[in-house]
Amino acid sequence: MSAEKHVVVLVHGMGKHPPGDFRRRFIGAVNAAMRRYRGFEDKKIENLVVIEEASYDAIFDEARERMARRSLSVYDRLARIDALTGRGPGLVLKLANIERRLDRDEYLYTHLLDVVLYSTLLGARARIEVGRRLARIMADYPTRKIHVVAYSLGTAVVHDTLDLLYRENAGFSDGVPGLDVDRHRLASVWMIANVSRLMASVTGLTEPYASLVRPAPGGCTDSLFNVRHKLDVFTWFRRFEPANDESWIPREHYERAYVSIETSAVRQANTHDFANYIESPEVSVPLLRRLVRLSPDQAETDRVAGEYRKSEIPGAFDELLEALSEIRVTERATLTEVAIAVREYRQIVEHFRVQLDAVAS
Amino acid sequence: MRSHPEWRRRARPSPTVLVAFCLLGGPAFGQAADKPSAAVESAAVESAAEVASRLDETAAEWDEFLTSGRSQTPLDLMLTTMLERRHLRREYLVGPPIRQWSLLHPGLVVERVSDAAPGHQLGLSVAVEWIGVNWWSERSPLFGVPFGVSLTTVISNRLGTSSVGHGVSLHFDNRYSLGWSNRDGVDGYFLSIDLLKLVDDRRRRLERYRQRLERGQSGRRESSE
Repeated sequence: MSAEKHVVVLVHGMGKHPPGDFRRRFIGAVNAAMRRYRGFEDKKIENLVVIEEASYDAIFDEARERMARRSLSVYDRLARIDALTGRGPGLVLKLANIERRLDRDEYLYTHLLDVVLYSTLLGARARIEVGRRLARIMADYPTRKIHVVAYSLGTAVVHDTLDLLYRENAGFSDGVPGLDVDRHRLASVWMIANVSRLMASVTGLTEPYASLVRPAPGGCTDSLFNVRHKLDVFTWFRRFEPANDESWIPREHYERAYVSIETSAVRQANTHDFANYIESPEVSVPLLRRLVRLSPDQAETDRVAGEYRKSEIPGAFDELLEALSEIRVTERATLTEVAIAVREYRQIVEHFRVQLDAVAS
Repeated sequence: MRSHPEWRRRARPSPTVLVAFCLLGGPAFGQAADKPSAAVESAAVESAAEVASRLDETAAEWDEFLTSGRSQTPLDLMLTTMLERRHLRREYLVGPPIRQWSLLHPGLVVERVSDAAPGHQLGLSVAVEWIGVNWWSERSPLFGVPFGVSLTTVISNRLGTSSVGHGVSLHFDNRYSLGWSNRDGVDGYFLSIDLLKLVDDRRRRLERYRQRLERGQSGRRESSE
């Protein structure tokens, strides 16, 4: 066993993430999870592993800002012509109006638009950003075990980046920069609220079932953890759910190196919340085991799991499940249908949050 | 797009490289397969560092595309993504496409319509490029400079002529556009300069200058320590 600290590479989800923000959220959630276990109370994840970030949000942010700035003068002029002559091109005016609103601080523009932008050529730029960061980390920590923890849209970015970055016998003769599946193998990949299959259907890149991101020979990682919450709508469409029938990876690797985790605790209205995922014992116990080799004994694990269940909001799961059951989910859903579902999900979560606040006060 | 795990990107090593690999400590020399030798480890570090610096270069190309290419609207982005999908879906991390496409791309131009009423001959017009293509880099196949062409409609309120004209724009160096339009038989000529791009360029130059200054200062600090 290596005595060196493992390296954790964090890849954020949708929205803006100032430098260090996602790292702080990860540290806060893991430390909160550790504090529940006797004997681990004083431990700090930031002292036990090296934490690195691979961010891509600036690419989408800059694109949004650039488009909004560019359209301002054009929109004003178009609107004036339209008002004066009635002959302005209405469709172009509408488009310019959408464009100039792109840098607004609203969920649609700061979060959902990232998904759309990722499906454009800007996605390729985002993959370069994450790819070069990963390669640099590989070069900086050659002897360490490296784990990647990706969340939400970050799962798609990580999946696509790894699939395009890694190859077998990389670097020998093909002239294309790439990491080698054996020499640069990852210790584990964590896909939290995995949307990689959904996004692959939009980008046209490799299906996760056919990619190199698999814990088997020829794949780029020793193990793969696929995490979803039962009531997280983001994971309802084209879910990554490989069968153990050798169609994805050999059975022995599936059973040894692939872990599917489904959480269900509702401790807050937003079931898509990153900390909510990380803090749940189903995730934090295997995470700590892999990252820092800390394993509470079975009795302690059961005690904490019991306490965690008690901290759930009574009746919230059933209530949310009923409300969310109205959302239409199909395997072949388009991005627009998913966006509508996410909007409904947000409305339900917001309504639920208001109810919780009312009860609390 | 690959559809089945059976595909494998097997880059065939050249004989020279295979021999070098074995000499560096491959399994043929009796190394335990799960314990890489120092030489193999070092080769892995070097190759990761090389990949990182190659991707740094690719990132710089992308930034050049996004900042020096013609400004793109969401529709332009989508059309370019669609028409350049063969490039964007290659089986490795790619640089930017060589072409930018535009669709319903609005802009402002200065247009001269000689037959318009006096005082209305020269003025600002809105130009809408219905569809266009632009070779954004100096690797342009035409003149060795960024070059593009668009089908364009110009709209402005001019006394004595129709307020709408149809024509063609030619784009140079990603920021200058020249065009001709026809308003019910009346010719108009227009040009535009992407002022926003000029401001952006100036800001980027200042930023680069500031970074160089900072690097210089930190270098001096380190050497004095």
